[in-house]
Amino acid sequence: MYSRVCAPRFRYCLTAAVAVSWLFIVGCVDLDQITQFAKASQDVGKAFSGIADEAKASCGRANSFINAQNPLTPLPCDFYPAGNPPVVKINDALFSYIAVVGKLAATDVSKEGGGFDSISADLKQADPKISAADQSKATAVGALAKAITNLLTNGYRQHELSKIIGESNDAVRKVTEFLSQYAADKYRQSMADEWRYENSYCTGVLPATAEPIASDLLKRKCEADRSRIDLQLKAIDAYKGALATVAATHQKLYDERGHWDASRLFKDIGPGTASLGSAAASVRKAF
Amino acid sequence: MQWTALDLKNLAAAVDDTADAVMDLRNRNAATSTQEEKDRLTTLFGQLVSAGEEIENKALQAAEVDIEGAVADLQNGVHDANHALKVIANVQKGVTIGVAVFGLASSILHPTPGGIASSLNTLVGAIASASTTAATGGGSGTS
Repeated sequence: MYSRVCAPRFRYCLTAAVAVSWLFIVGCVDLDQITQFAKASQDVGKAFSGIADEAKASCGRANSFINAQNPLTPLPCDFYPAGNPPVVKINDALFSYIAVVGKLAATDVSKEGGGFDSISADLKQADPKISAADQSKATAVGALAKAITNLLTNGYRQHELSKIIGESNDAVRKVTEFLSQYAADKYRQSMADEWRYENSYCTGVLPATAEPIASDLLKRKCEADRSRIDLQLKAIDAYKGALATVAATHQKLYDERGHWDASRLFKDIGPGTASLGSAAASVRKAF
Repeated sequence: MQWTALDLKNLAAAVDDTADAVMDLRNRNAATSTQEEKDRLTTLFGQLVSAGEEIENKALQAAEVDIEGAVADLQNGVHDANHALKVIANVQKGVTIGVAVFGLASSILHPTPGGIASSLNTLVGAIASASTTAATGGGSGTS
């Protein structure tokens, strides 16, 4: 009875089991490129708080060049003490998410300290006039925090990773856009304006009859500061480029989710990983 | 008219360019300008840099802003001013153009009925006057 009824079923079940196993083995592509990409992005992410601190210092330095001989309008520096922390937190959340996606770091989600739900309110407090659109972008970071938790809870499985990337793509796009347009542009303007104010001082304060040594010292100081600021501006551009790379790479992973292929990932993500390395070097050098 | 945040950011960049052009005018004429003229240009430079920051901030404050003027008209006006500042040598004319750009920026930041149109007219007039002076050979030196 058993052999008559179950044997055909057993053969069917065995065939099905082999087929499923084969599909599983073939489906487990090497995701090393994602890991490498995530690793390369970390140095850029870690440098952001240095950029934020430097922007605040830059605003203060710009105003230090105002005197009777250089009668400029003081620049508003009151944004930074309250505005920097939530923006840095958003940056940290983005790069922690990328790290977790790469199964490299941030295995301890408690390191993030939670509080993502309050980011919108924190930003509003820092800048009462911040737009609803920008708040929405900043709030998207909450979706990334949820993704981190889900990834850690569910473990690193391609299926889960694919699902999380699918759910997080819009948040990654919004957060990278926010950081590039809101934070990085603001910090870039601060540093460019520091040079504008210093250059006004350098070229307008000393009379032609000033002591040659005084003129020479001022010239050297101005040239050195210009080199430093140029380096910082390039580094911020590199950071913005890195954000664009992160968003574009995440978009590729999103578009190809469900049918990732190792050789295609190498082709698609490899160049971005290399450019992140260059951006990290540029940012490290300047800040 | 509805301006996008990007429109405002582009205008902020154009105002920053005006500030740079005013500084360049000051430096080009440093040897022949009076101290009063230099101070006027320095003050104007600072006002324009500060206005650029404020417009940039406004761009961050709202996705769209209702501004009483066409984007292209206002941006073209500032671009024309920047071009004029690069080619003229008359410091007083440069100050007039710079003040007009600052007035336009201020009218965008602190709108009043008809304020933007009036500021734009002033700017167009200042540019036309400077161009006429340059074309008739009266643009060199300080007034």
